[in-house]
Amino acid sequence: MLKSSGSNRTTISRRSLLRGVGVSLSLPLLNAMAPLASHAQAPAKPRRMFGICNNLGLLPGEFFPTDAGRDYTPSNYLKILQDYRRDFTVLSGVSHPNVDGGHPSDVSFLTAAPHPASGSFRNTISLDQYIAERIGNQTRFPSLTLAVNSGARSLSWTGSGVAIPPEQSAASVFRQMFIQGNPTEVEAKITELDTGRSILDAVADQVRDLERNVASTDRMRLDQYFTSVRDLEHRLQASKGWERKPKPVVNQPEPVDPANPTQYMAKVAAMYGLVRLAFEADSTRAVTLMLDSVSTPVVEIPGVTISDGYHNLSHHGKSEAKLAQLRIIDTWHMRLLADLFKGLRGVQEDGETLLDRTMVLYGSNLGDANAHSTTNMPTIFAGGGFQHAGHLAFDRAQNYPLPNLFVSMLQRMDIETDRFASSTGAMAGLEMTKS
Amino acid sequence: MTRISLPTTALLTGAAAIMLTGIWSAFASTPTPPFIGADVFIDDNCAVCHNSPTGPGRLDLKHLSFEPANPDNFAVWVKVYDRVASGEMPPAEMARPADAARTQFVNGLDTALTSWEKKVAAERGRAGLRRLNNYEYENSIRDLLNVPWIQVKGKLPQDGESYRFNKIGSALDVSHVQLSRYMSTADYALRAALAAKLIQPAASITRIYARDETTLRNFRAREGNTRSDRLNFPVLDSHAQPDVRAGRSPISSPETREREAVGRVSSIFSDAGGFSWTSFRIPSAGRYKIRVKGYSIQVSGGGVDHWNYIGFGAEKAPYLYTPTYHRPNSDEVWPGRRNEPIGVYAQSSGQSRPLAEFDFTPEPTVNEVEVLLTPTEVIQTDCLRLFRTRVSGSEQEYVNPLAGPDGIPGVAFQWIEVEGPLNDPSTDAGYRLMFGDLPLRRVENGSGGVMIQLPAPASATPAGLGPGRRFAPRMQDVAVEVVSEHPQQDAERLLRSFVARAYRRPVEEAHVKRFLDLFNQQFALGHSFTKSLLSTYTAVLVSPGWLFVQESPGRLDDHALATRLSLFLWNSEPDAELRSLAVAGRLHNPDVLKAQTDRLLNDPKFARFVEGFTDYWLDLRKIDDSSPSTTLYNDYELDDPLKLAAVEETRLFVKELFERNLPARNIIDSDFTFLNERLADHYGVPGVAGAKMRKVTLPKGSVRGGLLTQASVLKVTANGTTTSPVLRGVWIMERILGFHTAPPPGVPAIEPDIRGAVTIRQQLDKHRADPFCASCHQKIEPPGFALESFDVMGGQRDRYRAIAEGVKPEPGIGLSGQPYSFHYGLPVDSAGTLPDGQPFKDIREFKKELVDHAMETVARNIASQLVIYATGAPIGFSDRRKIDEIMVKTKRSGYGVRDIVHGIVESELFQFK
Repeated sequence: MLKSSGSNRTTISRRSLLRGVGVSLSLPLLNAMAPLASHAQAPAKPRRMFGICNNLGLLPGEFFPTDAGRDYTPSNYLKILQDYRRDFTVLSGVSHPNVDGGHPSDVSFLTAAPHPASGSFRNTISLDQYIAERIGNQTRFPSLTLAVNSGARSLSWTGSGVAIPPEQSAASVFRQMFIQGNPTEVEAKITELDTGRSILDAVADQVRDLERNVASTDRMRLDQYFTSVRDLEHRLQASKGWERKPKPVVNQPEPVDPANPTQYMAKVAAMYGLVRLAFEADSTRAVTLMLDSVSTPVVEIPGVTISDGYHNLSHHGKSEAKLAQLRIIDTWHMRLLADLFKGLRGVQEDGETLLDRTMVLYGSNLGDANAHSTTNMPTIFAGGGFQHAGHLAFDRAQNYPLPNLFVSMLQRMDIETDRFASSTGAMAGLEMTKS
Repeated sequence: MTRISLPTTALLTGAAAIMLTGIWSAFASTPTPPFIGADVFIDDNCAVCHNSPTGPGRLDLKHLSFEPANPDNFAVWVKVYDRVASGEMPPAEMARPADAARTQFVNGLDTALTSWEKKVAAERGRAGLRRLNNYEYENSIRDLLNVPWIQVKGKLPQDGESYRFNKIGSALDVSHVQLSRYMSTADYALRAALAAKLIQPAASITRIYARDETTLRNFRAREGNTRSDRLNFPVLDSHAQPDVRAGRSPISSPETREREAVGRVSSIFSDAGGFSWTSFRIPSAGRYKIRVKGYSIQVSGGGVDHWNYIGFGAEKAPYLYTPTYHRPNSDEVWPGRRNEPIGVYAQSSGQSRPLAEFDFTPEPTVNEVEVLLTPTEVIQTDCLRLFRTRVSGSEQEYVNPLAGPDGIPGVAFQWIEVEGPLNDPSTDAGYRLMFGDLPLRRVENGSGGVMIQLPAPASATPAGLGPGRRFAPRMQDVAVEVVSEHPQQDAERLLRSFVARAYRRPVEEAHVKRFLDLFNQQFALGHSFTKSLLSTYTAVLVSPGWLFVQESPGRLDDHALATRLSLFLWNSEPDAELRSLAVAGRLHNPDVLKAQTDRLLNDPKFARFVEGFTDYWLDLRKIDDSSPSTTLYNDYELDDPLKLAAVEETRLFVKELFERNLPARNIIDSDFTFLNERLADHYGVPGVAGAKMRKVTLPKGSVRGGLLTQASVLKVTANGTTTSPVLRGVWIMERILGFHTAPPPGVPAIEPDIRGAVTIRQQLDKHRADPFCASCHQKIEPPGFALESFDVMGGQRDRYRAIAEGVKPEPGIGLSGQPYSFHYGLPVDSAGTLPDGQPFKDIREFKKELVDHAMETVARNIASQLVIYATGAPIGFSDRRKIDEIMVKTKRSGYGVRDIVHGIVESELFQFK
């Protein structure tokens, strides 16, 4: 339900910083705003993706099933998800080719860009941004980049390999998505967007002057700047279009952000709830969520004493005391994921459930955090219009390329492509549902 | 010949396999040799083994064309040069080529490689075009608009990194995200400078007595808060006031007011938060003096018994709190027995940032610090050494580690004073740059003025909310406008001077005209003079003319030289003096340039170099990437003072090297370092008392001294739980010795094991049995082995710690109050053998080997790291000769680090793009 106008005003003034040109531009949601152009026609039915990376992963022995196929025996962790057994596929023996380097590899989770820890690393476009560039104009927010307990790390990267800083407040995203400004505020915002475009026009012209005087290789840098200016102009233009359209009304109160990073699980739950709402209201079609477990302190779990920071626990060194605590944390991750599936399955859209139209990719850049290994990534792929295959087991010594799953996801979204990053084709053993 | 002979840019064989993929295209049917006749030498001497990318030589030289435009191909030829020139190839067991043939090959290859790089440099320069990185951006904004407190670095997307630094153009990308952030930060900074003009309150002194600060009056336990060591208590002249604590006497009385204090025996669980002086919020940004009065105390143990409740709802039940020896009896207070370090923090929106540290003594003292503060911040004080209690937990679970038979140490605060903001003529310099002498006035909100944020006046606090419980808005939006009688003329005049000041080189008229057009367009749309001009200034600060560092191929002109020098040594724009020398065309004069280099090195802004350079060179920005394990290392848990001192040690040490032109040898070993009491205690260095960092001469035979054994370096090279000789070894080889390596493809990492049955060395020994692994590992592991005698926080150790069920842990309690859970396991072996066969038995011998035999290697590396940092380009093949020249010039001072800086600035590497 919409909040009263009184609380709405408080919200706006709390948005602090400044009211001028910059303010609206400083909101991260607007940054990733509209796509350049529509490359694809609107698909008949909306399809969505939600990519989640827990950058400390899950204990492999507890997660991976031992037998393969549709009738696999659920592992300890997967037992928690058994109500949704037909709604997801668990993958083993998959990883991103040549993505190595331990913790820094989380930035490659949705890009599959090789050697993320190397000195000359350049990231490439992430799956969600690839989607947003093609169909993002169909929704108010082309994509949402979210994180829990992250500094500036996110899973979303632009085509030029620049990180998109994440939103960490579910409440703030909720307000931007669902709380309508009054007409004066809307007009003020539009004026700001116009001023922003005028500023960009002025600086774009300067690039041409400078280009005359620089070496050819340096011209590429200026071209990148120029392209960024044009990208941003288009995005501001698109934002303007959305600014006058009323925002959707949802029958939910604004979420309350847990204040402390120790309330990690509550934060994750708040984000999952927000994402379900965003999909339900069709505010966006592509969402990424970085669960920055590495930067998470001692996790608070009701009724349990967790002794160590999450990162320290993950370096369990096979100590049983630490493993026991990790199992508790991992179990919570699985429970929250089950809740997410439940929420998505509980919403109907044109006779289908939201889960049927939402591809949820849950996994980690680390196969085993204790060894910092980046092979055998734990991966759950749920919903989204696929005939789920139980346990798709690949070779744990010679991994199957996970980017192939990204290709299948893109194809399911009616984006015509047969490759993404280091893919070798579409995902083997995973068929789409009819229609 | 150095015993540890390290070719400067040698690549280990492991890297070759990776690089090969990039050079497939080079296998043309008839390969082009690098020079005529090279193929003959290769056929005779190399191709026997190097004839297939997958064969035993792992490289096909027979079919490798010389394609210098392909960087991977170029790198292979450089490696060929290095191997043949050093005599490493062909290997000893093969027939040696005739000296003449070898010389001819080496020289020919040298010429081919060098002439290619020269050609490229002439066309486009060594360094590519780059934008300001986030450090440079923030500092430049601060200096340009005179807003030294502003923090915008964190609002920008992270900079890319190349060759370890944030200075290389190809890694400093721009995207629409970056650009939109530049727009918002520029706008934010411009308005902050505007607000600085409007506020300018006269400096005032506010004193807050501890007894008046309601948040400090938690004298008695409340429900759910039974831990008496978290309570404060009244103190007067180092003694308790039981009547005041019990509420039988007034909280304060006029006769004793100046001597009254509030005591405490604990610190807080995470950074600051314990003692918050919330009744005063910083009114405006600027420089302040903070004074804190108080002293140390000793409190009797045994606690104070009282009734309390346990449980909730229906299960709630009263119980008698039973005192134990480790809880304070706050009705028995005595003069302190020792000094206590006090930390001062600024707190805002749940974030704390450390400002200063000093000591309380048993006698009351007033301690003054001068700091930069931002609006709405609250001052916090914390007792750094004391028990960091948690909110919940049983009496037995958390024990004050400092509690003993003679009681518990604590501190007593009397008052704090905040004086400021300390205005000076430069306070409104940012405003004057933007609006000259035009008057600024406040207007009605909603009347079209520009909105800026000011702290809300105290009267905005709603009735019923006393001090310390403020829910009123802390900042308010205020509309202002700058009054101009002749907007267009004023705008043009102001804009011209703003652009001239902001741009780091002469401004083209075409640029000014575009900005003027923007102003006129905005003004014509009906926006106010002020708003239109602010929008135009935003455009200036987003324009490539400001964001990009402009250099043309060839010798740099004086403006580019000034910018390169100030970005190098200040991480910021050139100041007025550098600019006027550039305008006068005098900066390139060698004497002038040398004097300016010295001036920049001596300026307080040089601290920005130290921070930026060590953040990347030594990874100090990663100091919080891991924290010590709470089970293996809970003696380090929550020990922020130790961590802060460790970082400070390294920064002060590096600064000292540059300031005093100390020989590069000090990087490996020095007879001094910088310590305070906590860090000295950690290192086992006696005789250092107090929180202040100072230069200390190390005892003879100390393992400390030099960078390798500093706690900060040892921390960033470990993961909080375990150490790895491989990771530390690679780090030392790369950062200190300039020897680069790449991880082998497809080899799984060793899985750490802390159960105590196997050491990392034993695991590695197995792994090194493979000769292919050994070829690299024998080079990278020795430094790591030598450092095995240091734990994850840089503490010296001779046994590993372990955790295993059924093994009794070591006695002891951590700062968190929890008992240790580790025991001592297998012994540490820190001996090793250098690649040339020279054995060392520990870190001392290892350092000595380096000092005796590898000083030029170390000096060459620091020079190379500085060149990359200063010029934004890696060290190319032909650059090595320029580094050689710097080595020759600086040898006499033992490769004095400041001399190296001068050598770099004098070099063509610095003076050409």
